[in-house]
Amino acid sequence: MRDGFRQAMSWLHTWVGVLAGWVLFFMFLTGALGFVNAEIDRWMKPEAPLHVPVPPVAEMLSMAQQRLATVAPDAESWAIRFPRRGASGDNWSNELWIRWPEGRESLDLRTGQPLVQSGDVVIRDTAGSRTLYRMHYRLHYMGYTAAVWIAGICAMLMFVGCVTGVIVHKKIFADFFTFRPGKGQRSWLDLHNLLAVTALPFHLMITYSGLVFLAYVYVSPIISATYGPTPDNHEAFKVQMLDWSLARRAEPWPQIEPVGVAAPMTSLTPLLSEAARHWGARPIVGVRIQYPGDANARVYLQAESDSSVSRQSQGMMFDGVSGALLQHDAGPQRSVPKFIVDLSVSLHEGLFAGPALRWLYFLSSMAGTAMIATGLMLWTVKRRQQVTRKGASPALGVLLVERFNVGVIVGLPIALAACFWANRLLPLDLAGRAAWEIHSMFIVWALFLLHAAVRVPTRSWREQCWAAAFAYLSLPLVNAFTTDRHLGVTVPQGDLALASVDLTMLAVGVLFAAAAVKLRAVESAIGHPP
Amino acid sequence: MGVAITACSRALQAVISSPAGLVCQRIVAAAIGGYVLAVMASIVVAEGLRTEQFDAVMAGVLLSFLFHLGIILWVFAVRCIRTVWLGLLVAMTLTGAAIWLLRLGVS
Repeated sequence: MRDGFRQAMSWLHTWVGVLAGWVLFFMFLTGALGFVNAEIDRWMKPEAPLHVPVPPVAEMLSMAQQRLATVAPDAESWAIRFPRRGASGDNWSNELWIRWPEGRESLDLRTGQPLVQSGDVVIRDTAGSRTLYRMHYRLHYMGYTAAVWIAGICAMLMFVGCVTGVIVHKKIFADFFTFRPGKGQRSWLDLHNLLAVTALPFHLMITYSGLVFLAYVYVSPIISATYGPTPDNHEAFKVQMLDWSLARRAEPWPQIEPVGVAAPMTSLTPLLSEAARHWGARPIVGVRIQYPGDANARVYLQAESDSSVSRQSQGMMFDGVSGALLQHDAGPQRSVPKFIVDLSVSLHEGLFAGPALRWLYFLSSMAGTAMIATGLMLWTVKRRQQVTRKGASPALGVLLVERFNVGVIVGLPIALAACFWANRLLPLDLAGRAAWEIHSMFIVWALFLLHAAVRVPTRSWREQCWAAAFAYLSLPLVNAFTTDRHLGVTVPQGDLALASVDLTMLAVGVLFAAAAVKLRAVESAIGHPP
Repeated sequence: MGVAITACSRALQAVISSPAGLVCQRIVAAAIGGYVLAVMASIVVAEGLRTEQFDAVMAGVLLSFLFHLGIILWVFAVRCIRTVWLGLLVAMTLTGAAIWLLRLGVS
């Protein structure tokens, strides 16, 4: 009976993996980019300044206030968000955001002007990393609802895959220390286990928290049954679930109305010192101004202990005209379910993490991506070996998966590189340039899927690995020829955040080149007669 | 006419109890049956917990994925397909009754 159970779970593990493997590979790889999106975003905007020291909060506040007064004088509310700080206290994004109900802008930290332009240079129209990493749940070229459901079903299958994977393993700890290279199917299995077990907490966390993140979509019948079936009912639940930030939340602040009488706004700098008296060194992450210019204006300051994973935030409310402190909120008392949601969302996004931890996030996602890839390999290798032993010809399904594997496992990384190439090479005045960066990615992917479909897998593996090595190794060169934000500038200037993108490209390129060289040796491991 | 119906139902019987048919049955039981049961069980949690509404519903939502996971594993672990359907039916009846009783208690 126990063996029967393990066998059933093994069967489930295998088929869940084959069914969702390719989509999950896509989700893990593009999702990984999200953890380094600040760096990628800067790489994609080479016209933006090199690393800029972050000015004092008071200076940024007055910059933002000036810009808001120019661009949105009649807005109902203004919001300002300062550059993020990691747990280590250093700023890792250079973005000073201002937002009002009708729009948002990122400001240049040196001038306080919007960052669509840097000096005389217009910043290129780029899809940026935002479009790239949002693909991990939004996919692309399809409606939101369909995409989110596909991602959700695959995430649930991933969840099943993780748990059945653990059940199947009799000796999970011993297997962890086992790696037998050059042994065909065994080696793929060992590698699959190694990648899975090393990052198992990450895999489970990212999968479950991903499901929780969009739970208001996935299990909306629960909300219909309890809150009510209308979109308003659902929205009410969603707001309570996802709104952790005091600066954005109406509660626990009293509701206020504008009186319609103009009054000059208080100076914001003294409010900062008032906040510092209560909060000490805790950074102020955001400011919201309700009804600016009205006699009944309010200013809300928000401190978020960024070092805390679960986003415990504190807020203060000031009179917008007199500058008097009206209310101080020490942070909401959270229930256990709310705490779990906050924790899940926070862990999933990893925004609390400083550079080192974010790179660990990135590497864990890569381990997940590789785990999925090795799992897909394992499926074909096993079947190929069975077929070879019997001297029969493989089933159509095996042939199909074998070829599709190449086009996805190597083809998708090449396509991502193509997106970076497009960012550098597309004409700056091209209409719809940002969209074309993404189109380039999918066109290149389609070409490599086609290549994988028509070539013998032994050949296409090696050819695509070489193509990937070329695409990644030459990216820093392309960057050097087209911009002055290349390694020769970023490293001497000490802009390591920007340099890390080029360096990662080189590392990925070297890995693919090594894989291509090795492939001849492990060709038997893929299961083909030489 | 009657003969045709009997033949049809026999053919259908053969299809759904073939190896592929049995796998399909399990997939439907796990995906759809499992989802419905997980949602129902979560509603029991959401309506049964005596806390603020949001917290109770949130607890149900958080548990729903774990419920579904457990049901999927169970559906594929059970040997006999009849047990699967019977188990789902009994569990749905019980959770349905629980929801009904909870609502009765409220009003």
